[in-house]
Amino acid sequence: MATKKVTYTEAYSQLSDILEKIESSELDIDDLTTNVKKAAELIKICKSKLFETEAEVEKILEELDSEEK
Amino acid sequence: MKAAPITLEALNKKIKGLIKDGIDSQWVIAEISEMTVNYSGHCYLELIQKSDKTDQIIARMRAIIWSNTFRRLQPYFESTTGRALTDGIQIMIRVVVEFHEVYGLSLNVVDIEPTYTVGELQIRKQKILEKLNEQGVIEMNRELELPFIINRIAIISSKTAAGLGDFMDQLHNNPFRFKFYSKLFPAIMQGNEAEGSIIKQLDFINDHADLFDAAIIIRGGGASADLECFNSYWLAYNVAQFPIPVFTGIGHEQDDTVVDIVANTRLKTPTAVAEFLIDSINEVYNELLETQQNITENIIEKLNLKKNQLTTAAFNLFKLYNKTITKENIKLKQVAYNLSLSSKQKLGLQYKMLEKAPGRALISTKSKINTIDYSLKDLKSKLINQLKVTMLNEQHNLNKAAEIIKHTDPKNVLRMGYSITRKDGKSVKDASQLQKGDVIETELYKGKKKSTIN
Repeated sequence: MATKKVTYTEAYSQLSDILEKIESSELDIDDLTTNVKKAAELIKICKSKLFETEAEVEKILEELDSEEK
Repeated sequence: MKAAPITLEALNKKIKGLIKDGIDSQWVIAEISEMTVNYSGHCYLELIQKSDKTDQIIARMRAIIWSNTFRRLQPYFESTTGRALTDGIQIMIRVVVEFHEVYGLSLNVVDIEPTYTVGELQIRKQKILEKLNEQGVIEMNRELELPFIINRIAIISSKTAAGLGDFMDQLHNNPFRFKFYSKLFPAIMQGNEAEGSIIKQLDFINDHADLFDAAIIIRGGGASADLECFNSYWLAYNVAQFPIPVFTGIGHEQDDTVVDIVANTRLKTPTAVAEFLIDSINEVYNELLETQQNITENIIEKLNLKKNQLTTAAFNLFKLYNKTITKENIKLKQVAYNLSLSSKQKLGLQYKMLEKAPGRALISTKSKINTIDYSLKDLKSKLINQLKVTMLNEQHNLNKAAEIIKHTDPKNVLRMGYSITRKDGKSVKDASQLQKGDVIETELYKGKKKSTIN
């Protein structure tokens, strides 16, 4: 999934943008729904970055061992 | 004339006596070039002095610290200076010059002044910092902005360090269950080999810098207070220019080492480093939760607003609907009334016609007519009622008027005990109209009487 590649910083900045949009402008109800869906997705990504193990990162760090003497 | 020769022992005793009488105990500044502690705890030193200019040895002397003295001086020195009493450092000691018949000349160390060494180290540190500053590297690591999230950590530490286990446990079993990735790069953390060993691991991490958010140099407490390697110019030079932020948790209470100073974030102990990392993620997490709540609240507010708008619109629509219906109803009644007045016959005819017409149209028309018929009847009874009410009102008004009229009849007034006085048939309303001798007629409720004024 493409979203997996997003960094926390990117996801969080997108989230902040959405909050700003919701706070400031008069979003119509259809835009609101789209933005809420997107926000929920971004929150999920951010949380997973903080709590969940990314196998890819673990694997790379493990592989560093073999290079070491 | 030759004096009689003496024995070597006699000569040595003579030297010993001269030295003992001639040289008092003395404070001396020297560099330790070699140091060994034997099995019984005595410390043997090789002291030297180098030329400031040529770096060549210009003086040398053996010295000894007897075990009972050494047991006292060593911890005192190490706790004050924050470094081990070892070769390569400048010390200031009080010595008694001794000559032994068998072992020869040596210095018996009886006291040490650690602050001299502290000052010396301070000067050396200062020189290193000045050099790093001149090279424009001193601020480089300090100026690196900490990443938003620091959870991929390269650790440089000794595999056996006590502080390392605690650090790992604290970090990976943090109460919030935040995920941390850590990788240990083992290095020698004290002594002469430390500098090279740490730099080697820094180089290795440097090659994979994109895999890590920060590099952490930690050293668990331990017995030794040897931090001199962290005042090394080359180590500091490497740390200062490291591409990712370097954290230190070297575990000492003394002044910052040069490495502490050039590192991005200096913390006292490995525990403090772990706390810092967990807190920093927690801060990020709290910010995320706050944003989440803000979004939720804003959306609820927005939705409520829309709901209220809908409710208002529905209410207005309902009001409008009612108004229209009422208006139409009145119109309909009016039409029905007109119809009934002008063409009751026609209606009857239509009714018959419609009765013959087939299908739904008939039923619906019939019902319409029924409605109209009903409204007409209703209207009629209403009219009758209204008329009745009006007539009753009129009756009441008439009665009331009759009552009033009744009360204004003079007969009724006389009945209440009043009388009318007349003179020449005209009623008298003022006593001054009457003079002596005037004949007046008084009318009472029953009967009249004539009398003369006297």
